[in-house]
Amino acid sequence: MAELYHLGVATSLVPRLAVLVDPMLSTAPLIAATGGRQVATRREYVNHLGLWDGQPVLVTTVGVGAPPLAIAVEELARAGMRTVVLMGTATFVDVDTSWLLPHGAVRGDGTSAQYAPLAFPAVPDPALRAQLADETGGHTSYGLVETVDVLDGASTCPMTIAARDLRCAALFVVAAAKGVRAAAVLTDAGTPDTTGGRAGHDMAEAVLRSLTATDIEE
Amino acid sequence: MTLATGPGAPRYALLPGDPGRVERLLEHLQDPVVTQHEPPFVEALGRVEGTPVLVAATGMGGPSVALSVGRLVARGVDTFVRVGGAGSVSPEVGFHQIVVASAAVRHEGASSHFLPASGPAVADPGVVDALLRAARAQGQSVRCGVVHTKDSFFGEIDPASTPLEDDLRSAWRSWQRLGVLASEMEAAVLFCLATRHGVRAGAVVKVNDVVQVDGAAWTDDDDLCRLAVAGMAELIRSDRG
Repeated sequence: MAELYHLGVATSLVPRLAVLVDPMLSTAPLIAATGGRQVATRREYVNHLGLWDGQPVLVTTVGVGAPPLAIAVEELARAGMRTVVLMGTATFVDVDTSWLLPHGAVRGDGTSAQYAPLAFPAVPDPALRAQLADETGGHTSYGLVETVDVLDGASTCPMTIAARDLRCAALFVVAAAKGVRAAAVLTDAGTPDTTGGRAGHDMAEAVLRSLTATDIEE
Repeated sequence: MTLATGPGAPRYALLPGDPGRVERLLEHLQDPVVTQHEPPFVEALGRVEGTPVLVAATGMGGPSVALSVGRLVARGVDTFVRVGGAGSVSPEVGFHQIVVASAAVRHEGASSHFLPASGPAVADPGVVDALLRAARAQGQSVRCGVVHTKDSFFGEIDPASTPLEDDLRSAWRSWQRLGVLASEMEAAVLFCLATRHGVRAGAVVKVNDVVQVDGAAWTDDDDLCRLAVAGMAELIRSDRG
C-alpha cells in the first residue's frame, strides 16, 4: 500500500482537510472533536484521522521548524489535501488576544526561499483567513509574524511585528507553490498550554468549522 | 506639478493611478469637488455615507505612489483603497476580471525603503474583507489573491523587447505557478508604505483587455469604481461600529 514517505499515512487515506499542530500543544481537543483514530506515527509526525461535519480531517503533529512543516504540506498536497490550518506557537511581542491570526509573515526562514523568490508575499489564503477571524472572533487578532529558523537568535528585523515563530512564512509560501489553501493561528509559547482545556476545545472546533466552511466555498 | 501639502485631509482616500479616473470615481460620491486639477496628482473631495472621502491620483509606479501617498499619510489619511488597472498573470484570470489584492509580489524598487526585503507586502485584512463584502452585495464576481507589482510596464507586455527577456519570462512562469492573479505597478509599494506607517491599505484592480501604445483603447471601469466606493462605504460603516 502506498504511503507518504515521511508522514507514514496511507496515500489513499489523505483527506482534503488537515490541521497541523505544534508538538507543544495538545491535540486532544481536535482528536475528541473529530473522533480521530491514529493512522500512522513516523518520525515527528503523529497522524489522527477523524470526521468533522461528515468530512474526513487529518490531525498531524509537525515537529519543530519550517523544514518538517514544508515536508508535511508537500506530502499531503501531493496526496490530495486542499485546505490546511496550522495551530502553532509563537513568541508574542505585541498581541492582546490569546491567539494571533497572522495576516502575513516576514520571510526570515530558509525554507520558503527554496519555493519562491523573496519578493513573493508570505500570506494566508484570504478566504480561510477571513473564515477563521469570523469563527474565532474575540479570541484572535491580526498581526504580522516574523518567521525565523532560530527563535533565541538575534532578530535583526527592522519592522514592527506582533510575534516571532518558526513556521508561518514557510507554510504560506509552500501552500501557494502547491496550490492549496493555508492559514494559521498561533498561541504564546511563553504561557502555559491551554489547548487541552475548555478554551482549547472551543478553538479546535472553530478551526474545524473554518476548514469545512472554506472547503465548501471552493 | 503640484502636490497638495495642506492639513485637513479626511481619513479615507481612494487612490486611482490614472488622474482620468478621478472624475469617474466622483460620479459615485456625494458633493464632489475637484480641488487640485494639475496632473498627475489630481485631487478631489466628496462624501460616502455622508463621510468626507478624498480621491487622489497617485500617478504610475512605486516612486510616484511613495511620494504622493507619503504626503497623504502626513496629512492624516489612514485608510487607502487603490483603484487601478492590471494585466492578467493567471490563466484563470480573464479580461475584465476584477481582482481584490490580498498581497503583492515586490518585483519593484520603492517598497524596500519601507520594509526589509523579507517583509510581506500585504493588504490590511479589514480593507480586503470590506471590498469582498461590497462585491457580494453588488453581485459582482471578483477574485481575491496575490497580485504582482513591477516597475517596467513593457517588461511585462513585451519581454522580447528587453535584454532581460529570459529572466522576465522565467520569473513570469514562477508567479503563475505561485498562483499570482494579476500584474500592476503600485500595490506592493502602497502596502509596504502602509505597514511601515501603521495605516490601512487595500487595492482593487481590473484586468484591461487592450494594451494600446497609442492610447486610444480603454476598458470601461464603471463596475470597478462602483465597487471601490462601495468598499469604502463598508469600511466607513464598520468604523462607526
